[in-house]
Amino acid sequence: MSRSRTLLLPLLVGAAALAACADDPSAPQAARTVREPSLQVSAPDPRELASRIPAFGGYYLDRGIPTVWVTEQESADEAVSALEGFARSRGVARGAIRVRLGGHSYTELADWFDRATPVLALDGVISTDLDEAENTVTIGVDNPGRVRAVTNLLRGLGIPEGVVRIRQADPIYTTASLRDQVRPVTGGLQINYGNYVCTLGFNALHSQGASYITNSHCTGRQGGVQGTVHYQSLASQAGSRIGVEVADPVYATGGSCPKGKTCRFSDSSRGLYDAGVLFSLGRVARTTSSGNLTGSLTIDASNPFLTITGKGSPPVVGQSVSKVGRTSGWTTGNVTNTCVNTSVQGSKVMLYCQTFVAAGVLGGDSGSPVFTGSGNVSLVGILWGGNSAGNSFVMSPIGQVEQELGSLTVN
Amino acid sequence: MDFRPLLLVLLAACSAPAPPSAQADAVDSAAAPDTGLAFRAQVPAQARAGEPVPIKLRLTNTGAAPREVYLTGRTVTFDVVVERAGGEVVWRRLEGETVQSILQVRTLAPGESLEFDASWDQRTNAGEPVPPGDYVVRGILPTDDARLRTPDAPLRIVPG
Repeated sequence: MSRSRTLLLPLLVGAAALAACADDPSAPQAARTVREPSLQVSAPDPRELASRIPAFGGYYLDRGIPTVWVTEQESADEAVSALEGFARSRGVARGAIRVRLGGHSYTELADWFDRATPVLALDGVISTDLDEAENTVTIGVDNPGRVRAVTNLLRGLGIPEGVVRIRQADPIYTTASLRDQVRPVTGGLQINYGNYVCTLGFNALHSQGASYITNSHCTGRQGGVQGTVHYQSLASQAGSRIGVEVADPVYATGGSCPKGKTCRFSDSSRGLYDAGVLFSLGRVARTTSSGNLTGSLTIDASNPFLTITGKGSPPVVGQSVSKVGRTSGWTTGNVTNTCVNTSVQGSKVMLYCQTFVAAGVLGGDSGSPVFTGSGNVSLVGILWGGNSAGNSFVMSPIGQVEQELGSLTVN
Repeated sequence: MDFRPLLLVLLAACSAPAPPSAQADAVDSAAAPDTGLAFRAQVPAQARAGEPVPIKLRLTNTGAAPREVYLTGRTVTFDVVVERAGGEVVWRRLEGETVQSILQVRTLAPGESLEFDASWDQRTNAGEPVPPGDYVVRGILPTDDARLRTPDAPLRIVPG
């Protein structure tokens, strides 16, 4: 069931002024859907469909009805057939699948979406979206004054004028949880792969593209790249796939690593966002309250984000830090130990120089962003574990994450 | 299906003292049967001093429908606590350990069980041997919502 409401001000690239203000419940950008948890059925991968059907232009659910774009009417039957199984799993017959004739193939949109990623480095640009519902690429900005700079950069990136839409996105959130499907994707939200559930740490720009960071152990195998596909929040939800694991350095043996152990400096991995996934750089989901052992899981409707203003210095003993995770929520406590070489229960893994914090943690919080501050925050690390009592969590400092994953732009 | 309310009922049920066992060599502590999940600790009723004590925890779907359970760890994390009869904790399996905070979703068919095996060497976490006497053993299974606890299973250690 969808429970989303979005307030959007559409702006056309190159247009001089704002076009309109619309309450557009069908628009996917900044929308949020809530699904009952089930891990059985996955939505079709649009990139795979695009490789089989050149005229395929993307698909979405229009009030629950699968709706597909094609650039040629002759491809309509093939596109409908590709979605038939998915539609049936949702109780929709083949004949009810809708077909819309669009101007752009999914392959074209994905190319423009990828090339547009650098605009996220501009001030005030909060999202880029391969917009399946509108058969276009949409860029979200915080106010109309950003349009000129975005337009100029898009031109420089070789993206044709008129194929990208710029919108002022001002989402109004109903009650949402860290465990719901939330767009744009931010740090602190639940992610899923296979039969496992973790938390997305933070979004980042990497030289290889728009990325998200979570734990190494939140991938198919801890250490080494298996191309793990991640979903937010569950694989069974339509449109929940967000990306693929692309970096997870192998754990070392020998040298300073104790005999029988495999070692790294951080429990971190990097995933590359799929084209079309709406995410926000420099944002962590903000819930309605924080506590020491547990905090709220409900995203604050009036103030839904913590803003990452940069990377913080390694925290010191006695310093207060916080994390936001899908199970214990927003928790805050003081650093108790730094630079602890830590063995992981039930495995051969040892992590060098980790930081311990006297704050709540529960299963599912793996990957949580750790930060200082409570409004504008500084990112200091990524949570990966805790003690069995659930009152002390362990994090890998951000510097060690970058040491292993490469330079990351986090805001 | 959201099973959390049932888990709360289960936890409440688990807080009651375990009934005496009719078995001669083991105590099988079962939770209330109408919750849909039963979490049990099986230990010998008696062990000689110094002998390792085998401990088996078993989580069973006693309901009529499949049930999802959210467990912690890539390898499922479980704890075992041994207390003297007076309540003093002498050994905790995960004492001082750091566990990964990942959730694992398992679906149990009706009647299906997950089993977790541990062994206690009759030493405290400080490494000191415990004296003969009466003890209780309790299993703990962290989930994303609450910790499942078995009823206390009594264990008597007799001189070797």
